Amino acid sequence: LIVDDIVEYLHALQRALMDICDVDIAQSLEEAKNALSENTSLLLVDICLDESKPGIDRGGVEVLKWAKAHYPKIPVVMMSAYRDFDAAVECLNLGATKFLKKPIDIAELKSLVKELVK
Amino acid sequence: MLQIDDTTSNVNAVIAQHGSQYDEIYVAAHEGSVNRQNLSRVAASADFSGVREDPLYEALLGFVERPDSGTLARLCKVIKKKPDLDLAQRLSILKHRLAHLFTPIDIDLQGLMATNFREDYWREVVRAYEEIEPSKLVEKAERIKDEFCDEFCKDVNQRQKQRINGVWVQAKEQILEMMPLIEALTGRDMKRCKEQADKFREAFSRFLAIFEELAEELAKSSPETK
Repeated sequence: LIVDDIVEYLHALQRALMDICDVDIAQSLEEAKNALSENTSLLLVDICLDESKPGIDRGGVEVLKWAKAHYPKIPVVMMSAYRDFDAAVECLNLGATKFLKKPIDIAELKSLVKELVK
Repeated sequence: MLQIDDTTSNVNAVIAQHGSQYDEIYVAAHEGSVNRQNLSRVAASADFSGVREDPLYEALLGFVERPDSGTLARLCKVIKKKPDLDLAQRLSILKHRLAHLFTPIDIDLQGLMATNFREDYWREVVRAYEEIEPSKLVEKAERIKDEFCDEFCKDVNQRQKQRINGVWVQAKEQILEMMPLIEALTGRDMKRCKEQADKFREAFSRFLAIFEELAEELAKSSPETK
């Protein structure tokens, strides 16, 4: 499951990963709550889920917290377009498996997905 | 729907709550009386959702849980406080809004290059670009920059305005470098797309670097950026 507020970005990631896994998408915490299940093998979340507050909004951290509270075994990879060291540390402390810097390197992402989903 | 009138400071708040928890809360806090006939309009114009760390969300929850003049005053104070963004944060917002236009293209291009423009992948990608007009993308980028300046840069000084404009000029050069690839995608021209792929990725990388370099420069001279 990929969570990001930019739908074009979600669809591009969906296409990029279609060869190696099925990808569900969500644009908000509420959509993520509905889409997450025990069958979800990996959660990929952008830290900022409000494009009007880039670098300020941390809605993705709420998704991470909710996912870890309800589905602790699902690995969570966080993404951010910002060099936010504090956010990265916070996410890792909350149980995120990895923190990726946007723009995403698709080869690196595919390799990570294969490793975490196997 | 709940209406709180604080007669001591002539401030009213209207709250509409949907959902079992605080999933959707609409609040209007304002001076003067409320015309009940306009309640739906008022509520809709003041819709808000946030995260618990957000001071506004915290104040909102405090007010919803214990609605009195004290929690209302706290809520009004937080609502009225405008975010104090420095120049680096303002530019970060501009970068983010502009990058949204091109990041999905970069992802699709990486995918196409990794599969050596495999036919089924190519068809999936170009279908997503059927409705896109490349010239409209440039116009949209211009509009984002203009709206950004209207929204975020009213209070910046002349020197800072010049820096923002300088960054935009450099960024736009890179956007124009990216256009041939976008035209190839929308025109379903695989041969040209292959030819332009590296050029697009280099220009996109420079586009992001322009903002990154400035952000670093601003971070080093932080007192000046306020």
